[in-house]
Amino acid sequence: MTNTPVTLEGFRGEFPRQPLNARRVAGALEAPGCQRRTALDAAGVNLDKLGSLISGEPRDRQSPFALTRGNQFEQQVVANGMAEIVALARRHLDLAIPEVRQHDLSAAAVREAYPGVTGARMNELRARLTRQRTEEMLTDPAQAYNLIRHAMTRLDFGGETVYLEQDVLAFAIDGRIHVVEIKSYPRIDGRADPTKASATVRQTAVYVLSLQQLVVEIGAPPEVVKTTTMIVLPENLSFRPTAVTIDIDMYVRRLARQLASVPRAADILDAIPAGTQLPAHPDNGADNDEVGAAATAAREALAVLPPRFTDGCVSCPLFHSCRDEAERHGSIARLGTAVAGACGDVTSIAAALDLADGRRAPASPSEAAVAAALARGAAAARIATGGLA
Amino acid sequence: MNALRTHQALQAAAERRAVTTTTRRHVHLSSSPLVVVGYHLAGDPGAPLALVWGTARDETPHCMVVPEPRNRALRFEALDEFAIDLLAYLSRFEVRDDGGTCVDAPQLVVPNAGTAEWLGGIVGRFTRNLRTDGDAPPPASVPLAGKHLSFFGDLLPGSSLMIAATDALTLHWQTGQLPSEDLNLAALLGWIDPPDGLDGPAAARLGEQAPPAGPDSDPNWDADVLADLIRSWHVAGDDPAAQAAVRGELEGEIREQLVPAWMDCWRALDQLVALPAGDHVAGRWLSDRKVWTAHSARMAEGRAFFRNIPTPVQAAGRLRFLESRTQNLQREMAWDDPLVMAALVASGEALAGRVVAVDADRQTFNANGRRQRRPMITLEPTLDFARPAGTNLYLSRHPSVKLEVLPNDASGLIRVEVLKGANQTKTLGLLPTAGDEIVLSPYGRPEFYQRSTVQEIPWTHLQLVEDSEES
Amino acid sequence: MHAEPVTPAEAAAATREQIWGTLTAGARSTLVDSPPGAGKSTLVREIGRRAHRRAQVPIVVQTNDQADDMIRGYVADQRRGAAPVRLGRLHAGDYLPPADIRTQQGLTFSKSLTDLHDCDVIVAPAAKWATVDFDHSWPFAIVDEAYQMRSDALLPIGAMMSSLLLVGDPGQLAPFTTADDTRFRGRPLSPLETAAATILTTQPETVRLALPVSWRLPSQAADLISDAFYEVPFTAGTQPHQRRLSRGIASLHRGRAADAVNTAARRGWAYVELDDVPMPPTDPDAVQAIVDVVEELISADIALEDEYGTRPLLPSDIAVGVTHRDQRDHVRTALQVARARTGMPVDEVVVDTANVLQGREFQIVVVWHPLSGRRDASQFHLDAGRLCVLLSRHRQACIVVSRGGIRDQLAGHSPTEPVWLGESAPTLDGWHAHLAVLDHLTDHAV
Repeated sequence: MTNTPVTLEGFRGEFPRQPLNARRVAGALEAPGCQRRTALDAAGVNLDKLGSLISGEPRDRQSPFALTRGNQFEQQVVANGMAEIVALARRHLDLAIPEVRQHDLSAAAVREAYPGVTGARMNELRARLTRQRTEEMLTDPAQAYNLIRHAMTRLDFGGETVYLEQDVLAFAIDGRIHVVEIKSYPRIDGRADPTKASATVRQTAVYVLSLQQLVVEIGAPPEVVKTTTMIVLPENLSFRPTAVTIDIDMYVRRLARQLASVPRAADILDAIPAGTQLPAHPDNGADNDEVGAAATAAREALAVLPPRFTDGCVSCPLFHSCRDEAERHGSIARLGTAVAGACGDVTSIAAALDLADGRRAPASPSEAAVAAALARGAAAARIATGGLA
Repeated sequence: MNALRTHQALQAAAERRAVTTTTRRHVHLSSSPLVVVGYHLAGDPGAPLALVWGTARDETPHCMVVPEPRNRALRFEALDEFAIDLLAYLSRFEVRDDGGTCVDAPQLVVPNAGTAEWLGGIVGRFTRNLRTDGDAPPPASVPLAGKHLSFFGDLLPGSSLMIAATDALTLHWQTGQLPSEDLNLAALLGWIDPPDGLDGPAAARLGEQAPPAGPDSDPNWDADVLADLIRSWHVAGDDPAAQAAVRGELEGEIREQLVPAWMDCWRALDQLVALPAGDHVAGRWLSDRKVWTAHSARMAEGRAFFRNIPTPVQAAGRLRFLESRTQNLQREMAWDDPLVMAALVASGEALAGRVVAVDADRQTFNANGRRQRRPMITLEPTLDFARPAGTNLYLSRHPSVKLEVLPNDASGLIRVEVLKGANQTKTLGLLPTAGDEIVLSPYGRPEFYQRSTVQEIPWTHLQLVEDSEES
Repeated sequence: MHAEPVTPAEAAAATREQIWGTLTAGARSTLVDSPPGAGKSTLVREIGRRAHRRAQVPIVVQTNDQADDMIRGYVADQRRGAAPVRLGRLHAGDYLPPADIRTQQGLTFSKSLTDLHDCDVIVAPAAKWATVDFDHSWPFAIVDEAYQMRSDALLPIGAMMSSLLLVGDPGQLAPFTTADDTRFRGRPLSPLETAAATILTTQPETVRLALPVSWRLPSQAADLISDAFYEVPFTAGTQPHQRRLSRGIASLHRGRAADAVNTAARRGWAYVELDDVPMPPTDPDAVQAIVDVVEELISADIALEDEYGTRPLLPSDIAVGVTHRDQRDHVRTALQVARARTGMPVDEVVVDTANVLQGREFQIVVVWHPLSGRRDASQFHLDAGRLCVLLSRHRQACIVVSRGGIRDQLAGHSPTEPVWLGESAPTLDGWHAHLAVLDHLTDHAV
């Protein structure tokens, strides 16, 4: 580790990259205040690979059955010229849609029209085409395409431009753009899993915000992109689509404010000591020593980035290693947000128990308050169990 | 988080072992529970893949597998096996006492709330109304079992008819890990009952390595094992020998995945049975028996109906019932268990102390100027008590005795007066005597208000629904 | 709404006439959103007075205190010359009429409707209305605090009353349940929704109006509260110069409590920020800071000046608003100790949680910030309704006490709360409202 990172690219080094998409942007904002996660997100590090490497356990793949079912559902609802989607949009978004003129901006479709374009240039091309199509949608609604699939928009994340492949459909009717999201978790007797719905809504907000920024670039007001979005889900256990609309304005505004406070790359770099760099990922055939060495190097590189361990960390690919670290340090954060909150600025388990038992004198008002509260809890238990507890 | 629970969590982490948060057991345990674990196909809760069940820990559990979970006929064929066993198990609880109540009730034990939710809310919900007279009908046992599962899936707090092991364990123990990690039964048991030579965190790690307890299977196993087996099933075509071979292999794999969780359910029961039952557990089990009796009567008469979407009137009634059962459970646990009550003492809601004096003859004047008997108890609090004058408390030993905190007089002693329950000649005996160690809690006997019932849905709650695709 | 600019009083009167017009035109359901102190109770009483000429008018409130306050309001109206109304107060068996209204002329207390058949207006909490025989029926009734009322409590009302005026403050704390609510979420017409939301769902033709003027909040507060918490904007009913606090006694010592009181007197707001240290919920320094402010307020011999005249500030004009009951207990205890030490009647100020202060009004409110000293903001502590209640109880000034670090806490909060598709989506984001309020408070830091 001789070369000093001058950029986040330098910090990532040879470690595999995984560009940010809407899901990851939403995910990155789930761990605000965690310098470790923020730096890795900003550097576009492949978190699943990193997590597997340092914990020595493979990250769970997605089950092939879940994938198949999701794809089947999506294919079915977009089949027949979007007949099902159009019917749902007429009904739930109250849209008069005379006919569908759809346009596919997926990499595969664009590559056919523009052979030879690859990599970053492909992203730029798709983003440019998205902008053109959107402009046409707004200026010539009667003639232009009125439904775009797999659009590509840009979003500023900590000063870096992130390309977002839009999983959503964008409908343009009467100069207004409506976003439709298709998901494959079921809605049973009218109810959908609230945790999954929360993730959907936050992801959709990423798309809506980036589309709003696009229309502003074009010169239209952001309200042209409606925040009332339609989410299409399988009804009960069937493949029959059902739709529910939700106004996600609150989530879009929240996202805009959160993005504005994502640290700039330069600030993140300041916090990374010179010379810190992730190792290259060992090859498939690498022996245990090689993998072990890479894992150690990765852990050392991460060690300089302070994590913030909370209840929400279970969904992070680095969970296992951060958990071990919290446990090694005897940190109260290991016990979850509620316990940590009750312990004020005391962060060590041993210190908290010493304060509670009077083995340690409080050194601050916060410690004194924690000591009093914990001692009271312990005394109540002692009295209740006749001195046994 | 209250200070007692916080201290217990810190202790668990420091001792590297779960700490008991109760001195009593607050669930009823049946002498012959039916322990059930299962998987559905990933992303498709309506497609059961396997169930493993049994009523005796030392017997090999039954196992049903669906070699192609997306095939309706195969699904019914497999569910029939389980349904027949379930119906046979439930039929053991039909014997009534003289009052017409079943003398015992069944108890389903599952590893976690997710499995309970899946069995009742999905398997039960989508089989209970299947018609057995149409094309390719399911076996008659399947909708019957579906109705029973729907019943078990819709129980109230304090019921022990269905026990989710992780919920029951976290009611009685505090671990030193994140609350969401307690949802893993094997890891949770690692904290509570680590095998020899391991401490809690190490045992929990080991538990995490075990196959999941369901109802979601391990995605890696799906990709590496299950996908191949389902492919083999399709390759086997109509050849019975080849089919049997695939089934056999799948059952072997499933047993490897699910039997550890099934065994863990029994380990969880072992942990719980070691605690002495709280005094109110029997009363709650009696109401479980009554609920079971009513359900079983409805089943017998063909009147067991379940609504997929409750009406506003039903939902309101249900919510009120749920609220009162939730409160009752909290109250009864605190009355039964000094350590549960201690959490309230720690948070300052309850007052523990030694009785210094009792003035049973004290009289005051009420708002209408009439004399009334208001005995007064003076206590020396064991821990500071800061609730203001006017706060209502109840004797934890006799919750019918309602008290009010009087203004304090800087002596450090707390004075409370009796508002009701121990101010008449025949109830004065409920007063404590000087020297007693007592607890005054915020929990009185539940009060019942007579309410009229709304029969039909009024205009305020009638929604005009246009023909929807949901209908 | 589209008329030329008018005075606040004219605007408010026009809205009241509009509401009456809607009712007389036969609307089955009318919903009036009322910001804090916008004359909601006055409106309810006035409509009750006007409507009883056609038929007896039931008034549905949410608590016994609210019912008694409604009765007191009618009594006061009559004392000021309003047309007399025969009042009925329907109550539960164990209720004791308060001494101040027990013997009031023209007022009947009873636990049974049969005793109240000749009353013009009958006031009772929703829980009491749920116990009467549903064979009764009324053509029209008024529901007060429709945003505090749960949908299930509206069922019996709907069974007996054929048309409704619902009035409430949409910025308050929503009703809740102590039970696990997951079974009831994610469906329209959940029993946990507010009565107001239920009516909007089932009666799409509901006429929805908003009272435009807050007579309580001073002009320095109305704009902030309106922007941060309300969909329909409102204004203050008074001009800045009409409300004033003046100190009779200059502060003996320079300190933050004195600065806070002086700043609040000058600007209507003051923000006392303590060191940025995570603390347990019962932060002794925060308690002390609150006690200091209360002592300063009482020792300063403050004169209150408003549109009704000038008078001295009394301890009962002051409230301390907190989030948790144990915070309330610690503050009350500390104030009792302070009284014993100084002899000042500091323990006569009202100390309570947002839930209890909801619907009440004071001259000066000292707020213990819900996020003070926390490590992580939780949904409970971020609740927009809680913050709104705490910041909108005052007529003169509001002093907020908090640990520093709230901005970091908000920045570090991960808003991943569950979303129940199919429920009416929240329009107000507590996280955002907290940021807006913090931006404002920072300008008034002492």
